[in-house]
Amino acid sequence: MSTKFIVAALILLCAPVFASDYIVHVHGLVCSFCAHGVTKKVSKLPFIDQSKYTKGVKVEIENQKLTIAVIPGRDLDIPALFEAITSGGYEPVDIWTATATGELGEPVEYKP
Amino acid sequence: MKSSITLFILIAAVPASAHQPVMDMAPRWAEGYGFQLRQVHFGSDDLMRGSDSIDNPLGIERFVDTTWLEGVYTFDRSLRATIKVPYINQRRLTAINGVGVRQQSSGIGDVVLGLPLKRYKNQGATTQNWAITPSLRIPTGSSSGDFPVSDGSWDVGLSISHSRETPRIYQLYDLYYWNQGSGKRGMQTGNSWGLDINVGLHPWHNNDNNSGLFTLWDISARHDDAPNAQNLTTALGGDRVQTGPILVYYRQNFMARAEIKLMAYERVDGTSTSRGNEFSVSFGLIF
Repeated sequence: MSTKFIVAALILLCAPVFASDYIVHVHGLVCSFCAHGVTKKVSKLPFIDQSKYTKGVKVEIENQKLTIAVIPGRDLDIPALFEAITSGGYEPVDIWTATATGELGEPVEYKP
Repeated sequence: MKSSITLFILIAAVPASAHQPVMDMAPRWAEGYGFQLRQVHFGSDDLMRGSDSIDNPLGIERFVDTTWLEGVYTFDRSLRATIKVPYINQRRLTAINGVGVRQQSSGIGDVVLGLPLKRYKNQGATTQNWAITPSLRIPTGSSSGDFPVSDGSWDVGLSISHSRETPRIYQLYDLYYWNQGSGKRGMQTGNSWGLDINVGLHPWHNNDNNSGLFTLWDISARHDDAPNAQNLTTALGGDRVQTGPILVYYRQNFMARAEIKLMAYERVDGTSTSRGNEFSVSFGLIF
């Protein structure tokens, strides 16, 4: 009983952290140097939690997926995020919340 | 006059170094910059007439080692500026009045400035770009001595390239032309054109630390018009096709590259040493 309670409490405590991660699909994000450039630009944004991933950014080139960690309590500035990705040389397509396992959660409404 | 100079610059060309990660692939982000140190070795003691090897009783040979310090700045992904500064160390045994004479020279060579103009298209799991690169070679090298490192000319070039990349496959096609100006002491390297094709695989990539490998195969075709004052310059006239593997390792903002170019076909104008096989290694950083 007590073990279940602790596990449930831990899940609840962790939930806000996972909810602060977002996934962006980025056209053309297929190479290592692409990853470095986008990471460099996005990690400089003031709302990025640099304590996670690589300076707050994780790139998966096989599926053109960019996961970002947002500082808990800070607002995600999507126009600034998309501008940073564009400045890094690529085209952001859409943005989603990330689940606790790093999968796509809910789409975030945004029209660039 | 001014417009004719501009046109002249635009129709001339730079010898492109195919698939140079630091200079070509990155940085493609605005305000990015990078440096690369590249060591190139080529040379041969194989004496040729036309496309045939012939006896070489005097032991005529020529070997050239060049260390390139290269830099790139990206204003935005459509416009870059590059600079390439060579340090040349060359030696040869040449025939003068039927006697073999050993000569050697070294020093800063001719600086090459480039202005790559790129148009990118990102679509799903593919990124591709077309590039036009006008270039200018400045005669900063010494043209004095028996075996000068520069012919003392201002040269202009143009390359047109296309590259396409997916997470697994990379392709590059690069066509260039160099228009060589008149140099000092009657020297003039011949105009040249070349085609580089790189096709390769990206067999390994680690998303966690952004490291991995590229393996590519290079095919390079060259035509050089015969130079004037060939006894002074290192330039050779003729045609050649070289081919060989390229291996690139990268981790974060660092990359290392090694390449071997083996001679598949060669024809020289008149009698001359073969250019020989070429080996190069490079190390680069991007910021």
